[in-house]
Amino acid sequence: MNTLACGLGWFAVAFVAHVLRWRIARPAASGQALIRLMVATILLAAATTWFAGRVVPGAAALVPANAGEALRALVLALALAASWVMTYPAVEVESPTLVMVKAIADRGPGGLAEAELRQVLDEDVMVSPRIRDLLDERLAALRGDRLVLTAKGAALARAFAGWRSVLRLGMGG
Amino acid sequence: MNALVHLGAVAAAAAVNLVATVALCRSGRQRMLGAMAWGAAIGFAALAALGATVSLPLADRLVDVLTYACACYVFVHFNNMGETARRVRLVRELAAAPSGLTEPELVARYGAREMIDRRLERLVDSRQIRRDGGRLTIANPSVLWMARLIGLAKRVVLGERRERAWPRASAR
Repeated sequence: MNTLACGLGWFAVAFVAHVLRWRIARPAASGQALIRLMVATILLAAATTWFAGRVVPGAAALVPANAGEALRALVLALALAASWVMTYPAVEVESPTLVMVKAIADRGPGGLAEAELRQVLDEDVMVSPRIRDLLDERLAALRGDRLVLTAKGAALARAFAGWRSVLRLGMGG
Repeated sequence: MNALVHLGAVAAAAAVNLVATVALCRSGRQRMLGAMAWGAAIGFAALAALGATVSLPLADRLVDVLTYACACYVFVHFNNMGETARRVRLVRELAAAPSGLTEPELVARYGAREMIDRRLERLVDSRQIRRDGGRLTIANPSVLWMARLIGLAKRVVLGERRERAWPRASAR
């Protein structure tokens, strides 16, 4: 029981730290900042729990029974954090699919004209912000007026191209 | 049951999921989404089979199931990024042009029209929306519920008080 409670609790502490930090000021390269914050907070919470179990009277009953159980709790907390990190881009960036579905639903039973959708979701909304993201996250850089990939961007492209060729899938997008 | 055996069982189940998803996807019998759903189910069956050999308290089993569920969720999102993320597609277009591309050149290769076409096609194919005489209506509210959950997360994490009907051009 302590393993489950500690895993959930350590993730909850990291999530609260994330909300507080983002409410104060959202970092620029937010994806990487989120990973660093989540991992650091979970490790700190685990270390604090371990320490409390040894110095606070009665606290030993609330911490994982041994190092192996503590490791399981840590893996659970990190797995929950990884799930949140993967979800976060949809929270920060407007997902076009979700925007489209919400806009269609907002119009009620009569629906939305496809032409209106295309008029609003133009290059300024769909492409330009993502290009700025590539520059902010240092996946691409400007050489004159040309966008070129950085080493990090090239590695990302290779990783996805390789994985999708294993699955025998095309370009995606 | 030793803690390392628990972690090994979860890792083995995740590996079974990975292999099953790749095999189903490569066979062409399943589309990406179906392959991932079957892969997750087969991995879960492997985890249940490994756990069935010993008697464990419910909380102990829950730790393994939750950890495995998180691994599946991360795997689905990773695949989904390759399938739908605009950033990944833009990076791949740039990778195909070693001397780089100007913004208009990049838009010509992957612009708003194709982005909307692909998404509408996926939503119609998965019967989330209906397309009838140039008008779009909701056919199944599951993606709509997802949109509402994301809206709730946006309010909690970013403190946005209400959702906008349409995104701003400057939105990150």
